[in-house]
Amino acid sequence: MSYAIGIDMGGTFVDAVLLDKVTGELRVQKAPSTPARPFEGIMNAVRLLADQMALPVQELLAETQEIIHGTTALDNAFISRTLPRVGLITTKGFKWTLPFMRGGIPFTDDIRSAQKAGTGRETAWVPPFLIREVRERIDYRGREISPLNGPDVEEAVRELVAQKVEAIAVCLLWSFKNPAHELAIEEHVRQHHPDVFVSISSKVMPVMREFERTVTTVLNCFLTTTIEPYLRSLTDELRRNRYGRSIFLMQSSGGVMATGDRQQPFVFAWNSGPSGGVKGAEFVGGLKAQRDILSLDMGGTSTDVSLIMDGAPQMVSRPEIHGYSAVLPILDITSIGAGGGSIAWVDSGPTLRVGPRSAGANPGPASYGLGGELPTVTDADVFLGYINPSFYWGGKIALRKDLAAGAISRLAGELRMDPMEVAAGIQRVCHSNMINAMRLVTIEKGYDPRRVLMMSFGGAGPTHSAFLMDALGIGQNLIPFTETAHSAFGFLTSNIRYDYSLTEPTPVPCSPAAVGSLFERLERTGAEALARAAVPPEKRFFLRFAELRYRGQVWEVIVPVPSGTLDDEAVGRVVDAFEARYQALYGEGTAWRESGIEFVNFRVEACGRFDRPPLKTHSSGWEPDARAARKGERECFFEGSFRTTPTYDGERLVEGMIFEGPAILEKIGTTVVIPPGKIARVDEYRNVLIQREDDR
Amino acid sequence: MSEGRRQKIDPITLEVIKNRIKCIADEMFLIVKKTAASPLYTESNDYSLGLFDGNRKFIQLGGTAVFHFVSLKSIVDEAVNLLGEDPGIDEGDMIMANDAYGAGGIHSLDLGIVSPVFYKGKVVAWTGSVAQQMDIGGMTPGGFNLEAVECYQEGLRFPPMKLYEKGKLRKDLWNFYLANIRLPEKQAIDMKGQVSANKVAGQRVQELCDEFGPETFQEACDVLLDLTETELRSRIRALPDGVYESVDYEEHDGRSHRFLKVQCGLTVQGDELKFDFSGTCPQLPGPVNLTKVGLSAMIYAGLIPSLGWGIPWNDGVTRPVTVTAPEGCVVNACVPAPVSMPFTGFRALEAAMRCINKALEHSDFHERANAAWQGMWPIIVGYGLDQYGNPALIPWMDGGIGGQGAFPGRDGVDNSGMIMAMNVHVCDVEWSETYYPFLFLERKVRRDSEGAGEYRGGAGVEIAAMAYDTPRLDFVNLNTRKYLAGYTLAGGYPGGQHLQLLKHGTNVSERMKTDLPSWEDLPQPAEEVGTKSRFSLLPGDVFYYTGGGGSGVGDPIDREPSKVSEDVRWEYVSLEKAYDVYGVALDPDTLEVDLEQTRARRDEIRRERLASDSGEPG
Repeated sequence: MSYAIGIDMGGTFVDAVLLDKVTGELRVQKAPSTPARPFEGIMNAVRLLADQMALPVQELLAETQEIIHGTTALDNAFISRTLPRVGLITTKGFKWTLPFMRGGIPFTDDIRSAQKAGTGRETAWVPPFLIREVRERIDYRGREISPLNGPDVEEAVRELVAQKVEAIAVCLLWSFKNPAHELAIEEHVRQHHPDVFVSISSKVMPVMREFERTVTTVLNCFLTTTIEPYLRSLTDELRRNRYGRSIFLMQSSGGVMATGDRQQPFVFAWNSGPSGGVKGAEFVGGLKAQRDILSLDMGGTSTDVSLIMDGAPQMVSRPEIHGYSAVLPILDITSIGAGGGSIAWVDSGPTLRVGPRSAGANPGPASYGLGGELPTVTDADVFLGYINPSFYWGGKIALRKDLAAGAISRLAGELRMDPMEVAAGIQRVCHSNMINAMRLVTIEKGYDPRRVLMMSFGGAGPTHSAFLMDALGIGQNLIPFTETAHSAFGFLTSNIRYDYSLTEPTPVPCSPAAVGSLFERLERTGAEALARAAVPPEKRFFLRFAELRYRGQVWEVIVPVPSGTLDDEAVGRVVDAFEARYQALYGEGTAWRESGIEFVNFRVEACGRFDRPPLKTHSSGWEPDARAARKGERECFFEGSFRTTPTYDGERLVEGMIFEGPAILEKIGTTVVIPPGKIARVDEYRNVLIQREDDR
Repeated sequence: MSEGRRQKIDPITLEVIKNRIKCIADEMFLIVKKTAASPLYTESNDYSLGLFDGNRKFIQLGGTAVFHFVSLKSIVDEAVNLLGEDPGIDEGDMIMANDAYGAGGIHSLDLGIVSPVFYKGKVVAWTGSVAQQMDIGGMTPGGFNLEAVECYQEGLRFPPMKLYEKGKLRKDLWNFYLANIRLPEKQAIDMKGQVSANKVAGQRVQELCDEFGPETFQEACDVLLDLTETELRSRIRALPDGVYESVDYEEHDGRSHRFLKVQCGLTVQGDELKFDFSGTCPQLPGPVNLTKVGLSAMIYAGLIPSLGWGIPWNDGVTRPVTVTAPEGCVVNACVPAPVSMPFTGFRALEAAMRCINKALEHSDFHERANAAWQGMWPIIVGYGLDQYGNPALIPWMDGGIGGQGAFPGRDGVDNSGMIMAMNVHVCDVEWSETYYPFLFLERKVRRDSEGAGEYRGGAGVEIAAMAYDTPRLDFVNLNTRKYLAGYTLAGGYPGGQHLQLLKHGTNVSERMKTDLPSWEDLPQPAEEVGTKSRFSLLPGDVFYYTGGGGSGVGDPIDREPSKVSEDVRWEYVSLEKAYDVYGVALDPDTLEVDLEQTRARRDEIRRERLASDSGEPG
């Protein structure tokens, strides 16, 4: 036997998905999160898997080759404002780089409540009194023009340690050009305070712009001090239970890193949970031979939207994290405050607003009966008949329709509208917010949404997604069989991956050999890292990208570059791809070749494949009758009025079943709503594919 | 006012369209930022853009410089006034303008490009953006002309002109423009970005019309304008009726330091506001004049954030408001007064803010009364050769991150930017040192620059740098607020004023080879640089300037001592100031409050004040 396990630790649940590497069979389990002792919740989920397979945990783990873990652990620290205590060392004169956050205050329509995270007493990542300056200076060419002052370093480190910091971040000006001073400080800390974690910017992210480099280095300290201790307890616990390898961590880039040898900073694991969802969508799309996918993950408080175009998930390199700009290759996931728990309210307009405030799990939606008075999207779902109040989470949570109706009626009173109109309005506003996010990742980035397969998952995704298809002309909506543990599943479909980049402005026309040698340099570094992670050569592959711009511009546009030896023609095709992409982003006729084009950044993704079998199919061999899964019927709201709608048991789906809208599929973790004019078919993996009736 | 109009559009469709409009503005903002070449766009966010409805009413502002709101409006209106009949406005037109005298910003450097959006042959909307240019031709690189006595010396002045006619670039105008400015390559890229943003936004509005119909789109705009107007009027009604007056002074006329009076009278009557600047000094042959467009721009830049909390910022705000000033006064200057450094505009803004906040202080919204923010945007413009031997033009605007004024019950935000441009950004030091021949010695919080008070103002900033890898750099200094301070509320203290200092002939390069000095460490005497003047940096010279703090609210000796302790711990306030001004005695090591000594010191401060009282009533 041989297994791989994906574990996604979220705020409320730990999701675990097990893949049998021989049969391709999947198993899914959920255990409550245990934020105070994270490894316990994880072990509980693993035990549940073992129970399901009627195996002792030790036996299961002894046969497990990979445990891949993704986490949003730092989120809790941000929400509860209990960030780890981190000290920072900077060049003399520039300790305020981080608190300044490079600018004024984020644009606001309410100046009295304006805040700046960097100077806020509760929001500052590092308060000024934990930032120390040292005398030293490197110039823009990397020349040392003022030596590192040893006594300054000793004093700074001593004071920070006395202030009981858990880690020290170091970011000196121009260290990415000349890291000597940072290395010396790192060495000093390691020698004199081996128990204090130290992280230097020239190792974490050697790129220009000291603000973003500082942010990324401090974030690395946060993640390392948060993840490392529990990863250690978890590893010990797993080892005791006969798991033989090191744990793999999911990264926000959508790739997996090995954890044993600290070759990859933990900052790459920031908020890695959601990236699993995107990778899972990419994989399931691949089963359908689909390369253009829009993934939509709708949970209790938010919806994450992301695009995969031509087989490649879209990336961003300068994400904004709680107001701070970092440099980190992460999947481009747009998150909006639209989830099942999003609260509907009336502003002074009056217009009906939905979110971004969420009722959370407690008190939760009004229909939970835990004291929530305000109507949420879930309440509207219950009111409109989509959600079966006695089969929410498979009946584990009993919903009260009367409380949902009461909350909606109160809002209707404020708006002087009919409750039904208001409930339908909550849906419409919520959907329009989601559609705007979908427009943002497609149309506004120059991609045609009509080409994409929409993949919807998360507890609330399948309830709402089919309503979103028509606005953007999306023809297909697929609900994957792992819909409520899709991120953990996605970890299992990801490759090992390390990202490398370097900046070398190179005007076009340029020597293909020179460009090629830059990529080869990065690929060599990548190959060494893959070797350390024990990836055999035949499992390795390398993807190349270049960032180009018109000369004089500051911001770049990224395009893929072919592998192997580059010639003039290959470089020419890269330049053409840049101009095409540029015009797609910024409008036809905006290309500006007169000013010249230059390569700026060169990037390589060094990847290693895991052994993965084809997923087990569940072919029935005959054309089954959907009536076999029929549960009953109820009144559901579609196209302006309530209609009698058949309901089906979503846990009894068999390949080939066909459901004509309107229809409701009640699964344990979610409810699939198929509106009129849409038709759904179950495939051999038990995915549900919703299409327009007339496209069939 | 259109109170009687029956609202046909439902609250749900309205919300949907409102959000879409906002998305369009956000998208335009990013296009301009990501395609541009100038740091003013890519780093400092010194541009704005917006969307107008079919009646040329401003619907949605994108970007951060609120004062550009009026600029865009003036360009769209003048485009139609001057070109609407002959030759007419056509689909695909891109109309540029930078004439502060009618169609433009506060000075010729603000260049706007606007474009009509057609739907089935009818104009249903306008889009546009306006941004400060690196150069606009004329006598001084960078466009700030100290010696100008007429606007004709200040570079190019475009009334609305079609840069694109029916979708086709006018090569003649394009070539003419680029031939007359100093950084044609960079500025051409910037303009292309502005054109792209208009094109994309136009397409988005057309898609919106496809989906909802142009009538519903216009109706949504009408309702949004009415909503803003109605809400603003209700807030104005809450202000006590009366006439509020304030006087402020610009400190320099371009040639020498002298006080130029700017007087504002605000009449609050029912639900209307009238700003009048009678009593303001006459225009003068120096570059600090403000035009009528500039005056409106500045007033709304203060009024909208002050009274417009939580409502859409659109043309609805202009309906209950009038702004007047005698023709030929310094804030309503006539041709040929030069206007490249319209610093009297900052004073008009602050005078108006002071009136609004006096009224707010005595209303139900008294918690929203706001002491003065940093009173202007310090600008240093440099030129010379960069470290690579190419001509350099350096708009150095790091002083922009001064402090916010306090509110009753709330401190001002530290390093907040200015009220008319909140989201201003400074370039990273590494970015600046790559593109400019600079070496920075420091950029940090200016300690004790906050206006003290029971609620204190936000802290300001201080910067020191030298020319590096270049034989010489020349600069124009544009500053003010050296002699006079911002207004305060309820006995607060004003924020830190602005300084520009120069130390000549230091051996800084030599010295740093062993020991990196700061500005303070350099023993040479600090020379003052005139608030509007030219200066040069030669090897060995170090320049220092500040961005001021915000002003305080309430008496500093009423400030919660624990907050003062925190301010000291967070290094915004010195131990000495804590004791001298706030009357708080702290243990120098633990920073714990000594309550007994604090009480004694605060009593002492009260006695000192009594002793220094001249006997004149306040």
